[in-house]
Amino acid sequence: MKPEILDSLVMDRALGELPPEVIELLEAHLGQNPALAQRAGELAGALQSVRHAIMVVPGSILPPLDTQRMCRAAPPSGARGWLREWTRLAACLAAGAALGWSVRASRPTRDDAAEANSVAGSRRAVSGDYTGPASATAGFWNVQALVIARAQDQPAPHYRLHWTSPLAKPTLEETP
Amino acid sequence: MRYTAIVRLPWCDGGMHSTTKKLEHLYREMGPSLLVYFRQHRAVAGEAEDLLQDTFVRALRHIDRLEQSISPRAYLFGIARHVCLDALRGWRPGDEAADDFLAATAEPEDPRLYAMRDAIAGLPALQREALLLKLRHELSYEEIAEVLAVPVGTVRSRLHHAVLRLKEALNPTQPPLSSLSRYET
Repeated sequence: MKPEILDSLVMDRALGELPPEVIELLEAHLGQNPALAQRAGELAGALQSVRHAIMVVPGSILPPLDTQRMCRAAPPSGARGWLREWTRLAACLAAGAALGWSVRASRPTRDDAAEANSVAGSRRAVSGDYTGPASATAGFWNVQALVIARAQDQPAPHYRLHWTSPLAKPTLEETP
Repeated sequence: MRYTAIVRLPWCDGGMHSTTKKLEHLYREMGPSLLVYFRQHRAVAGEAEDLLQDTFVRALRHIDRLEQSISPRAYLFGIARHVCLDALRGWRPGDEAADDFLAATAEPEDPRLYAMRDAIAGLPALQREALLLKLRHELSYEEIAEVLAVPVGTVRSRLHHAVLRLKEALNPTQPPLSSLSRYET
C-alpha cells in the first residue's frame, strides 16, 4: 500500500468518513504494523484535541422564527401567484415571437436572392468590383452573398472551340 | 414531499402546510448550529440572530432548491455562508479574522488547548473553514462540498492538510505518517 493512501485512509477513519468494511481492513493492516497503529492513534488523539479546542459555548437560546418576515418574503399565493406566473409565460412567448419575426425579416427571400444576383451581375458588368454583400441582406453576410462575392473574385473562364471537321468530335479548351 | 414554486404559508393565510412545517422543523433542528456558525465570525456575531432569520427567509424564497439539495443541512449552511459573506462585505478583515472561530468557543480548562487554538488560528482560511464545518458542525465531506461549492476531493484534501498541519504544529519532532509508513509497509 502506498504511504499516501495509507495517510488518507487513517485520516478518513479519524474523521468518520470511512465505510465499516474498509475500517476492518485498515485495522487488520495496522494490527500488523504497531508503529503505524501508534501514529494512527496519535492522529485520532490530535483530532480529539481539536474537537475539544473548538467546543462551543452551550446554552444559547434560539429565538422564535420571524413569521412576519417570512410572510413578506414568501412568493404570492393563490390567484395573484398564478396570474404572475401566466404573465411571465406570456411575456416569454411574446419575446420569442418578436425574436423569431425579426430573424425571419432579416433573412433574404427568394425574390431578394434573385435581386441580389441581378445586382451583383450588373455590378460585375459595370465595374468588376464587389465590395460587400448584397443590399438585400442589409449589410450581413450569408451564403448567398458569399457565392456572389466568390463569383466576383473569380472571373468567368473563357473557352476556345476546336472543331476541325463535321465528322470529328468538337472539343473545348479553357483559355486563361 | 414535493415543493412547488407557489408557497402558501399558514402564518400568512391560515391552515397548515407541509412547507411551513418542514421549515419550522428545520429551524428548530438547525437553528442552534447556524447561530454558532454566525457567532464564530466575530465581525457579525452581534447580529447572529438577525442573520439566522435572513437565512431562513432566503431558504423560503428558493424552497424548491431545498428539495434538490443532497441534504437540507448542507443547503442551509450554504445559504448561511452567503448571508455571512454578504454581512462581512465592506468589513475589512483584520487581525481578528484569524481567531474568528474562537468567538463562539468556551474558555479552555486545559492550558494545552491554547496552543491548539493558536495552531488552528494559524491555518489557512480555507482549511480552517472546512475543519470547522467538519469538526464543529459535523458535516460530511459531501455536505461540506455543497456548502463551499467545491468538489469532494478538494474538501478531503483541505481537511487532510489541516489535520497534518495541526499535528505537526503540536508535535514538530515526529515525522509525518507517510514517511514512517514508507519503511513499515
